[in-house]
Amino acid sequence: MTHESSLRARAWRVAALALFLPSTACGAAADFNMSGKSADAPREESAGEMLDRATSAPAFAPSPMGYPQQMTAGIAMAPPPPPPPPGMPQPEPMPSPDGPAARAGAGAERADAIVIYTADLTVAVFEVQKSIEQVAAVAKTQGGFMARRDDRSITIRVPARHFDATVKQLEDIGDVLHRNVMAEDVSEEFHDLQIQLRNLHALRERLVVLLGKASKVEEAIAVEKELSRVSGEIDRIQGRLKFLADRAQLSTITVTLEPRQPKAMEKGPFQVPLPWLPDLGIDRIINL
Amino acid sequence: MDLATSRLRSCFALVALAVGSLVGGAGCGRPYDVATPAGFVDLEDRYDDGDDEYRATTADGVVIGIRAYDNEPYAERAFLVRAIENQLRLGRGYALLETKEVSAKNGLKGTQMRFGHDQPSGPHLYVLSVFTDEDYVYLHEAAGKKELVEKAEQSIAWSVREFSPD
Repeated sequence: MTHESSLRARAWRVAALALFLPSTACGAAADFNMSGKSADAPREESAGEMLDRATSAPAFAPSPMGYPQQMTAGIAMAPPPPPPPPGMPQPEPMPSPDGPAARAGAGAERADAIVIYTADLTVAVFEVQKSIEQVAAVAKTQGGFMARRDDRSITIRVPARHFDATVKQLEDIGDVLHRNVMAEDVSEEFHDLQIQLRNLHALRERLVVLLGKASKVEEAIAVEKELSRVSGEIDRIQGRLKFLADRAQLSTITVTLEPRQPKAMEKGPFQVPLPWLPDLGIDRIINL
Repeated sequence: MDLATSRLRSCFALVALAVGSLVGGAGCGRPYDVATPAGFVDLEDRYDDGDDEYRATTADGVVIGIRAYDNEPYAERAFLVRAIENQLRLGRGYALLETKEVSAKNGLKGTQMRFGHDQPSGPHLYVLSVFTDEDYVYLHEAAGKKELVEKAEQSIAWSVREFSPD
């Protein structure tokens, strides 16, 4: 190795160390101070070591509640969670607190809560196929759409703000035999993922810078490998965020329809002792 | 009692018996008058368990039936409508599709309930009109396959309008 190349390698290490030292020291956001000298560096590190440190320490440590913790060292104050990446739908506001979702125990206390509403209904109806069409029509009138259907059931997606009204309309189609309304608060997961995503974006930017400065093939390969991993992780988190946002924006309601049968009714009616009452019905009159 | 009086009484008894038989045989014991709509045939007593009920049918199997029962214990129409709804909707799995008020020919008000039910042979409709007065509960029924009953809708409505309790 020539003297010139040795100097260049030394300068590279110093620069990389200066780049990542703040983030590894206290877990704060990286401070891209490229002018710092490495006079206080305890020892010189290899590119592999720097890479390890660059990728292991998160810029923000998510709190148990999903929000970034305030840095005690006073170096960096964690900003509020960033908005979702472009193209990612924002979750819909919650349905009304007095609706079925609220009755099911949905927490309506937090205005910024991201809640996924789902409902499963089993309804006894006259003419199953016609009733399936009715359910699809209800979805349309509420600004939603049919997601899936078969002979006896249909799944619809409706905007979360219309969830309560939709469930009420569906309950009028027939006799509700079974009702299961669920509200899943995904605020914590959503915000954690947003923070992870932000950290990964920052890490990727740093890795790109690092890649541009890599002088050895081995270093470049190592950085490329890490870049690939980070990019994959970004894709995964973006996908999950998109999924959660979609589920929160559009509620999912599955309606199973059954022909009306006496056995399907939960309780038999009170029998008024009128002799002709049991003789009513189709069978008696059409059987001539 | 002389012989002439005894013979006279026997004669009266025979005449009364004959008249009673004739009236009963003709189904004139019904406390209502009916008219058979076009496209229907009055079955008289030619149906299963046929006696004093009215039955008429189309060739395709839409059947109209009318019967009357003593209103004992006395019940208001609203009470009976509720009891019928419970019996058919909850007890038998019928779907109550519509309820409306109807009038008989003599002006008596009644309640018509339109039920749907999935029979093994397909969806059927059952249209039941209930009339009550102090003496009787009148049941006007029409039933058949859904599409056929829908076709015969006007005839059924005409039959209800022409129905006249005594």
